[in-house]
Amino acid sequence: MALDEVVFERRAKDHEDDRRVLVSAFNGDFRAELVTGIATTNKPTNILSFHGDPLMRGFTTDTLFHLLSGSAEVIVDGEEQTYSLEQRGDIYDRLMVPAGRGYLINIGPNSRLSLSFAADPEPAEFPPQRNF
Amino acid sequence: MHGQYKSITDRGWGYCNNVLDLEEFESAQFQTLFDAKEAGFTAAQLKFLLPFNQEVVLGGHYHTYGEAFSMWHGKSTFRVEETLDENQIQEGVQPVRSEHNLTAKDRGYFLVPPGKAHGAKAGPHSVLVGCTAEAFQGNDSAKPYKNDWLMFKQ
Repeated sequence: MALDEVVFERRAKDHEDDRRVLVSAFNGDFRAELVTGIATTNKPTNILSFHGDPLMRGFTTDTLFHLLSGSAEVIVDGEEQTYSLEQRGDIYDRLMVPAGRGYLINIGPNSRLSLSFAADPEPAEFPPQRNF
Repeated sequence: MHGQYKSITDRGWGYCNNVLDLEEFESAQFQTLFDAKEAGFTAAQLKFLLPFNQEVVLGGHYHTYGEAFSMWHGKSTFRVEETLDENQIQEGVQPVRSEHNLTAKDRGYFLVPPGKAHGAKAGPHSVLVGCTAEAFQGNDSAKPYKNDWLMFKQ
């Protein structure tokens, strides 16, 4: 089920009744070993992944971004377009990025973005310290 | 079944915070919502349950696959019960029951083993995160199992 390319999707909520809304980020079309949630305050934030970074060899895994509220922009290594994720009404955007592709995320204020990793990222290995 | 997530990712973000000194990180909170090492399974489904402006009772069912819960915002109380068949109920067998509180502040998680009936009472405007070992394929996936205790009526 490994990803070959970047996939952007606008998804509707799964269910709503008088008690709550149910929203799924994935359901049988992705498998995650690890899910991290990022919640911003009233300030935006930027996050840079280290996929393929020569100094911080790290997370080589398919990654699924799902925006639960607010907004986020994702720049993916090798892609010409910037992906704008928004949550509007009943629509929740998600973006899937294949392993080995670096990305920069700009998360808007008061947003909730989840990152699901298909395989648990190994700790980054850093080059040995140089003594000058 | 009940504890706190402390994953490699948390440590990784900590490294970013401390070594790279990115001020932007101060404007965001990072939280591990699911870790297969803790749950014992990889997640086939990631769902968010978003109660409206009042406390709600959810669940009241069991299924053959495990489910892991965490709170991204707010708090909830879980109740779990060993399922009994008709004969056991008629014989007056008392089910094994347990109750667990979960809060986003404590970054706790809660695992429901396969076959255990469970229900939850979630606070208003909370964000309850559920990960299941198998995809949800309609109501055949979960069998209803309700009683007053499980549904917080007593």
